[in-house]
Amino acid sequence: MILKPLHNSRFFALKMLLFISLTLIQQTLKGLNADSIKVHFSFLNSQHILNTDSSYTLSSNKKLLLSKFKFYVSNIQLDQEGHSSTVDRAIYLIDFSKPEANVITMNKEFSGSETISFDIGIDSIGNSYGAKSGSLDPVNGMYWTWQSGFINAKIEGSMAHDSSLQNFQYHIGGYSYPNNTLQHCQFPLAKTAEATINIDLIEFFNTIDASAGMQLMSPGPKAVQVSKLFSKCFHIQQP
Amino acid sequence: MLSYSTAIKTATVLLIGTWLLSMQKHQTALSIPKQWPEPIYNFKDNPIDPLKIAIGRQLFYDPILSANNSISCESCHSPFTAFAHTDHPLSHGIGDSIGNRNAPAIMNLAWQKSFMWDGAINHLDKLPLAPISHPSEMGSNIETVLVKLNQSHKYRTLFYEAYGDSLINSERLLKSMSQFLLTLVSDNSKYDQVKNDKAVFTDQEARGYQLFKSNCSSCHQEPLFTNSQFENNGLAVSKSLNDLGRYQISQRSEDSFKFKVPTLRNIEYTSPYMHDGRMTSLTEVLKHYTSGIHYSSTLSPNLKNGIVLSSTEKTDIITFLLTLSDPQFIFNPSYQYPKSSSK
Ligand code: HEC
Ligand code: HEC
Repeated sequence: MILKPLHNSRFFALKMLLFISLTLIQQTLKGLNADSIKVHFSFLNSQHILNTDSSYTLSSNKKLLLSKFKFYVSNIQLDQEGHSSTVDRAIYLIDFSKPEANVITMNKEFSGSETISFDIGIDSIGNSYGAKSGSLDPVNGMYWTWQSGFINAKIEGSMAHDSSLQNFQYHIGGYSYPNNTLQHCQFPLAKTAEATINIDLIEFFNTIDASAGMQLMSPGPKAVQVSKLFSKCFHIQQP
Repeated sequence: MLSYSTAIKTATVLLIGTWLLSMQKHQTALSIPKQWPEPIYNFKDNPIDPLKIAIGRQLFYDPILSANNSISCESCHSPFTAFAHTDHPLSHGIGDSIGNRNAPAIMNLAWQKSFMWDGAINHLDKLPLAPISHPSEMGSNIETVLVKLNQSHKYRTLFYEAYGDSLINSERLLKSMSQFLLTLVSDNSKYDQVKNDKAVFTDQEARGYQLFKSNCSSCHQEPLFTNSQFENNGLAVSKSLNDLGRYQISQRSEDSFKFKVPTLRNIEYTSPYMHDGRMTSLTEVLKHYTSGIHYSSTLSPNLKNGIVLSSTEKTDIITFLLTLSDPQFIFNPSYQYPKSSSK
């Protein structure tokens, strides 16, 4: 095997310098024009942080205890009728065990958007990237190692009924046809630069079909069914 | 006596020279053998660098990646058998546990779209996560491996030299492993030399080549000897393993019992053969294609009628297959256990 140079290294250095200075200018401009849009995520009506000790009562009288709740949000788009839309290409990991990881701040000027839309999960392109840090780092525990693919949403905990305790693990994922679990959500926005999206997990557990079981660990038709149900539990909370 | 300005000039030239040299090593890609397609691996995201290759090589031979420091990648992928595992039909991992598949040869990975017999892995960077986490392979996980590596003075130094700081994260670890794996290119067999007009086939090899082209190359396509597709080549289903192959990934019934068409390069060294290592010789493989085809609904249409070959023709094909051996690949010192660099 022979290794060969790709291109002139001096040229590369110049390009790097130019790149760094441009980035610096960009950052400064961003700082000056401080407009930003914030999307907060909450679950079970305004809870922002997972408290592994609290329990919630379901319609079946069972008690719900949550130990893990995280999911990916990508392809966020703000639309204003008749105007251009703003798209954020970043992939965010919302994690309710981390206080800082349930709010998305987009450094974009707010121009009175009327709808917000986003995907829950990661599309097939994001699933086919090479190694990455940040939200796509496999150390986040959102990656299946034995079969390439991200877990779009992870809900873990237990359900208590009388004296019995049953654990559940929903790992919702799968990105290729016909078992794509990526789900799209769209909501109208009040004209403010902040929005709160609430995920009603009580609704999720009240409606989940017993046939879906308590353990979901791989892609397939069942994962698609659960992903649809999960996306229906997303609601916007207007101020 | 040297003048002041000459001294300054010399120093400047030296400084710029070293700087350029140090930049240069960060700007490399694999060279593409003549008549081969463009690689699928995107080198722009992970430009080849000898320092990173060296880390990948070190890791490949290091049992630190396994739960109890007993198994390295090399335990199942030996350089002397084109990185296949030859002692066992099914892989042997941590605590003597037995996997459910035959460890395949590793080579020419930059040209591969998907990995594993069923294509479960879609990017080379993600591949090491599979054996590291597999309970019957290395039985560990990426978080633990990173903790262990970040405690190692040797690895912190290596990552510092390659990445400019000593932090070892999953991206750097996986990209370094890919770099070493990507350098495992086999392109200097007798077959390649014939294609490059540096050698000629014997009459028997030439006859075998013609027979191969008409009977085998629809799946084992030149120059990589695979068409990268999933096919059912008519193996009877093993009752004990009941391996559904590609179906396990795609969940589509038309993919049942299909497996990735493997390369045939270095086939002489990589026995046993097939996804479960059920065959030990090439004679057995040819017998399978002529008289052992098992019919099922997903069997490749190319094999519906079996392949008709006389016994001389079978020998001719085997003789041709042996021209795919690349001793330079097997004995390449830069692929082997990194003796000198272990500090
Ligand atoms: C316990 C044995 C074992 C160990 C240890 C092991 N492998 Fe493997 N390897 C296998 C088996 C078995 C397969 C095929 C798996 C399958 O198809 O499901 C495989 C497949 C592969 C492939 C895919 C080749 C192809 O053409 O699709 C690569 C690359 C690879 N291993 C690299 C590695 C690396 C790198 C390591 C170390 C981090 C490693 N292996 C550790 C047994 C092992
Ligand atoms: C329809 C496609 C197809 C055709 C035609 C075909 N093969 Fe294969 N071959 C495969 C597949 C798929 C496998 C892997 C099967 C498995 O392990 O389940 C394979 C495996 C092999 C192996 C074992 C490789 C290894 O690393 O274990 C050899 C050797 C081989 N074929 C040789 C041949 C020869 C010689 C011919 C022509 C006489 C031929 N094949 C024709 C699809 C094909």
